[in-house]
Amino acid sequence: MRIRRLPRALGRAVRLGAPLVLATTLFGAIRSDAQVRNPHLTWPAPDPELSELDDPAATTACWTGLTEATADLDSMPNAIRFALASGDDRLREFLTARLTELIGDDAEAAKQVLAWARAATSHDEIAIFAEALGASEAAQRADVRERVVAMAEDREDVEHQGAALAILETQRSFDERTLSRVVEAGGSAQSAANQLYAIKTIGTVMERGCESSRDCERYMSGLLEIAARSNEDGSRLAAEMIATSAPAQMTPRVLDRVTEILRESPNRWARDLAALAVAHDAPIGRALRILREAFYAEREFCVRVAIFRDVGAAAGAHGLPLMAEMASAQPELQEAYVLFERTYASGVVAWDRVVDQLFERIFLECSMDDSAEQPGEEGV
Amino acid sequence: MRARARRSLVAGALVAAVAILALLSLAGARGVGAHETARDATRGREANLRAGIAASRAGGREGPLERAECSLDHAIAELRAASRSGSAAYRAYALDVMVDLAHRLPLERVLSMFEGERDPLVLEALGRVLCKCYAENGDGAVLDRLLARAQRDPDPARRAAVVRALGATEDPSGAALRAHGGVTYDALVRDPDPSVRDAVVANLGMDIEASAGHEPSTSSEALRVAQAATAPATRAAILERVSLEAASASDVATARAMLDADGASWRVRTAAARALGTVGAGHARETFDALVARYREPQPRSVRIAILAAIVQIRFAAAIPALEALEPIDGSLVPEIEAWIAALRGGAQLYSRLEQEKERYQREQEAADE
Repeated sequence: MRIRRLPRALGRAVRLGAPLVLATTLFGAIRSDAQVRNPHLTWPAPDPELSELDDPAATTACWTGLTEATADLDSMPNAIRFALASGDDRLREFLTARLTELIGDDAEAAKQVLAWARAATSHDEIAIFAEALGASEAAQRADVRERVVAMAEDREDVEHQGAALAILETQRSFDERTLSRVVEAGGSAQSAANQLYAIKTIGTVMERGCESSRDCERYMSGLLEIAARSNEDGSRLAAEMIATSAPAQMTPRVLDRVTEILRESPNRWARDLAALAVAHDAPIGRALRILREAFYAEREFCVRVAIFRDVGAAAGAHGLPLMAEMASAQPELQEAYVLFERTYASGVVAWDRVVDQLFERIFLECSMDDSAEQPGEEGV
Repeated sequence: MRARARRSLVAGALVAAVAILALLSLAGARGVGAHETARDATRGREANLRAGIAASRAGGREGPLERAECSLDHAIAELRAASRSGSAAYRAYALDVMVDLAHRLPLERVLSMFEGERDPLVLEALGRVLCKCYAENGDGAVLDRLLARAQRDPDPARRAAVVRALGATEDPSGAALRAHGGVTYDALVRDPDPSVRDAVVANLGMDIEASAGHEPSTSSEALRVAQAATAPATRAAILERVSLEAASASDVATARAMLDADGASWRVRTAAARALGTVGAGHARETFDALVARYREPQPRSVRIAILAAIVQIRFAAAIPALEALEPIDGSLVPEIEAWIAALRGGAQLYSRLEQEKERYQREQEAADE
């Protein structure tokens, strides 16, 4: 089974280590954009090995009347309810995509669909209206967005708040005011699931919408604010991890917060990713100082390995003296140090090419041995 | 396995974090329960469907839709209706249903329908079924029939439909076509009609994206097809998607030849220069030298800009002396070179970060000028 579409713009965090394990073991869960976009996160995706169960005779249904039933906006709610009752997933997916087409760039149509979502009580119906609306062009219009944000602020209605937070995930960017309202909605959400929707939404819009460090900082701060207010370990971890993946250099304030995570987070994965974020996103001199300090404070061997490697990610050949120092403090790293030294001496530059050269040779077993302990399981 | 692990390696923190989110949310009250396996979920869907269908039959209630018998005639009628409706969603749905139904028929029957079909949409569905059959049983004769139609049908819309069908399944990819022998993308990419050529480019693009530049056979295949292409826009469109991280010496030479070719369009040369920036450590030195030499020759501006970026991507900070030496060649590009040098001095180890830093520097310069 090949993965057809890699999410773009994620190449920046090239590394060995924790994300490798996470990505290899969990990648199947995010196989397509469609699933990432699905506001109600219907993971796990069907396992390819289960395809023998996927007998078309049992899962293909045929219908007449589709042209009329999907001809205009007003005919859709009835068709959608019918599709849900029929249990035909493929029909449901088609109607969702068709509803997006019918909304198009028409703000009035979008508001109508939002009103239907608001009036609906069934989880599945709400999910279809939300997904279709989020994917439409009209969802980007200010007056439509305003209504969705208002729905996201309704803490009492957990189901609709979750849907509204998920709809916002397709926004191209958030202005100050919208962002702070989404952060507030996520931070004060009663349900852990809605906190996660807010976190995922902010992280996705950040990845898509922020260009400069200063602009990204707003999103990172928002995520970290939700993390600080949350009582849920899972939400905190997710918010911290996503905050460290912003697509621009960190501002000093964010760097301070990420350094704090690196120093204090009780979760090894959060520390691991924070170290990577420091390596890629902080000015080199500062990054090396922070990594050095974190290395000596770190008790967990595999996080030490990650920090050691992150020195290379931060500074390339200029990091070799610090790597040598770390290798003498932790003799298991000696062999890896020699490999790095040899690679840089041969004139290889750029972290991607270093990874190409050393892939499979440096402490992969450290990552692999740990694969049994995945961060997700802590929340289960 | 190695390829898959590496593909995951270039995905990063957000992927991992989103996956964690997914797992965490599974543990919540919504969606599939945490302890329900995917297998159970699939069984559940089937049961739902059966129950739903039974209910809609037995109840006889008025609904907007009525259950129809899943015959091939029905599926074809639906495809035509979808095509008339102008809805892309409807078309994709009807195509999927058709593929499912036709896949249950004996291969001989599908083949004879395929030979006689004139509607491009139905042809695409049947073509997809044949690709599935080929992937399942490796019967080369099936592939030959497909390829013959893609090459010889008099109607370009039908030729493009068959090429799209070739790309809609996991196999066959461009490399598999070549291994099979006979008609390959080399021939199809020279089709006189641009819609057929575009379909070839799209298929190659999917192959490349799936391998993220780390499967030598994929970039090798794409380069070969680019070289075979006679339309400059098609050749450039393929080159724009190629990356050469794992390419062999001869593939790198092919890409260089496309940069050097006399009379090559500026778009082809720009795309070739960009692709050359992605070469692996083994070919860095000679590629770097060749790019610097090309910069010194008369070149359109966009080619020079692409060469500068490629030089940076190959050598990072070690490229600074060469960049400085190139400044006198073209005064109008001095700001471009200085932006790169400023970005390189920051010492970033990722090319994507260097690009961001360069753009940031340029924005600041523009703001200062105003």
